[in-house]
Amino acid sequence: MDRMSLPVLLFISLPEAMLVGVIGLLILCFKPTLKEITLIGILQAICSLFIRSLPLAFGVHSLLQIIAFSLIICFVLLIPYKFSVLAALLGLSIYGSVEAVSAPFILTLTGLSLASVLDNVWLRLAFFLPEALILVIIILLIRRLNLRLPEHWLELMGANKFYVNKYVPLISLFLIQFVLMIVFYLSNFLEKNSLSNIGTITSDPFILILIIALLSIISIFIMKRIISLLQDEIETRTQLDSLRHVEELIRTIRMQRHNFNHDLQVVYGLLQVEAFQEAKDYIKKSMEEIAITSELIKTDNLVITTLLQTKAGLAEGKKINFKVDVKTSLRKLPLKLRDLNIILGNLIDNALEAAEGMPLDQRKVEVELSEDLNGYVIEVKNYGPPIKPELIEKIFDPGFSTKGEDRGMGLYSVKKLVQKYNGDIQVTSNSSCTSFTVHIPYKSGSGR
Amino acid sequence: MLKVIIAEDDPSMRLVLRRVLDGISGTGVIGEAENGQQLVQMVEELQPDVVFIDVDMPEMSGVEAAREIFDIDPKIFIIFATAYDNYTHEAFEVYAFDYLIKPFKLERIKQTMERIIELKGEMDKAGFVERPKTQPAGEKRESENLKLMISSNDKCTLINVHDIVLITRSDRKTVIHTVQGSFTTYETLKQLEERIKSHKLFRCHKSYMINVDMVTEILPWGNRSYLVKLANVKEKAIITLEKLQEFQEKYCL
Repeated sequence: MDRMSLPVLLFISLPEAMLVGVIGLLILCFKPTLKEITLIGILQAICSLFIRSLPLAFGVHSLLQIIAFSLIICFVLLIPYKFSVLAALLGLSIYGSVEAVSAPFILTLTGLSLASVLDNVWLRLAFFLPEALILVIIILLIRRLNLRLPEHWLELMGANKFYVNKYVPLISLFLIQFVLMIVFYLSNFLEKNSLSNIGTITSDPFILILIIALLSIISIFIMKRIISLLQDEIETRTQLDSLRHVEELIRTIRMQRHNFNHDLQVVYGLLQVEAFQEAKDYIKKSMEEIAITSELIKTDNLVITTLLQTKAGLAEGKKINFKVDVKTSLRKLPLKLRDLNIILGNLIDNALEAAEGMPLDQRKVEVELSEDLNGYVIEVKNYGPPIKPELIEKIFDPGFSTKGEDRGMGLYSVKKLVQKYNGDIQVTSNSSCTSFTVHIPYKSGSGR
Repeated sequence: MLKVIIAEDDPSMRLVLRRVLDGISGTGVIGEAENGQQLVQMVEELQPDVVFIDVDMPEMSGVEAAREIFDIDPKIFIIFATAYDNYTHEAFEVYAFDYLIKPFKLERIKQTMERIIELKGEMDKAGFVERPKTQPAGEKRESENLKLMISSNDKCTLINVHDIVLITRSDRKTVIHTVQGSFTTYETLKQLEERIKSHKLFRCHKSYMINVDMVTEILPWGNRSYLVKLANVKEKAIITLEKLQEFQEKYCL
């Protein structure tokens, strides 16, 4: 059995706990005072004395000590337990790594057997010294090279519980696995190199299996959290995308209001200064302009009209021939206007982008809004390069994009919205044109 | 007579403005510009008293043009007309004399012009107040008597910092008015402000810096701006509302 005596307690356990604590806390940017660190060391040494006197296998001691160490740091420094666990794990994984490398190395170097070292207190102390030296060097390196988390991370964590809850458990999980591996390694080492009178964790696989099972369960929970986080992100990005469309609409409406106010001002002014002929001419000109645009785009749905006008303006700027064919009344369309705005807006944006890359005479985008037996049909067609057949399946995936980073939510949100109304979306793409067709069925129950 | 330039890209609107302005006695339209660049050019050539600017113009926006006009002659009355509420925020930053938001009543133009005629009279009134010049501040600096050296063309001129009454922009140059007379330099106001660093000199407007000891009177001017009368010079300065608040906090009881 691993015996504890006063010199071992005083010269090994105490400095060992202090050094390990300093490393862990230092990386997390906590700055404990010498008094606090000494207190942690003393408490940990006492704990260690107590735990080691329990009749347990070697590895189990270490695991109990991890828990005790976390609690001691938590109570001495009065920091949240999540941080103290993290600090304890960080310190112990570094210490464990050092020990796992140095202990076998020194044994081979000196030619002594492990059993004899464990029996002789002073020999044990001599073995601990190089390890302590390495730990001190590591502490100095951390300070000199600033190998710690950025200073503001604590503020960040303090300000946002979200980070603490999502990341600290994940990091702890990895560290626990790391520490476990070291414990297993050392147990194995002990088993092989000493007299078989020391029982270790490797000889008692039950605990081992228990811990691994526990870790797996924790992993599943953390995985679940990560997945829900990912879903939130997809949701946010979709909403951002829809926001962009709404902003564009508002801009167009504002622009139109500006023009309207200007026209009103001019006509009023001309009448006021009695320039009647000019006023007549001005009104005639404005009327003609309005006639042209409304000829072009005729829907009895104000939002769609505005949207189509916006896009027509965009297309004109890019020298794209933009044709709209409205073959039906859209007044009873069962879609929420915001949703329709996203569907149509995204499809047209994509089409315009595809057309933009073509020579001038082939820059053409056609939008057709019609009805068939089952419901409404929205078709957006461009004559740009075809979509590769192997990609057609993928274009509706969240995050898929041929346009680089930070894009690719468009078609995903279109598909999601179409599905929300029990509709479907089809893509056909060949060398001459690419067309997206959306079918939206009539609202079930409400009839035509 | 007040000389007016109209800057507006819509010919019909220009016609309206011209007819209204011609109908007001004491004013005359001396030029019409279709865009910002043309306007700046005209201002330099014709030296108007008042400029009507449509904010939303091609080539150079009305706001940009107004900034340039401040550099040519900050005393020109700038009146913005806009229908686009998005621009007004930007337009407010240049401290124009007045803002007309379309659609506006034509009487509004008349009112504005009448006010300008009134203020113009106030400005031209020969009010000359004498006041002992600023003493160098603090005992230590008594012997110091700081000098500002400015070079124009080939010669260098030395000005005692405490002689300065106000610094302004004119014809894209900086003019320093002192008790002894005025001096011109190519340095910008910002450069001078950084060089002088006297707490007696206060930057009160994009185109003005004043000696706070020489202020005699402050009266309402345009929309969110005030006229500052100064002792020992005929020249007057303009202070913005925000700067006037700062001035009160810093120098007044």
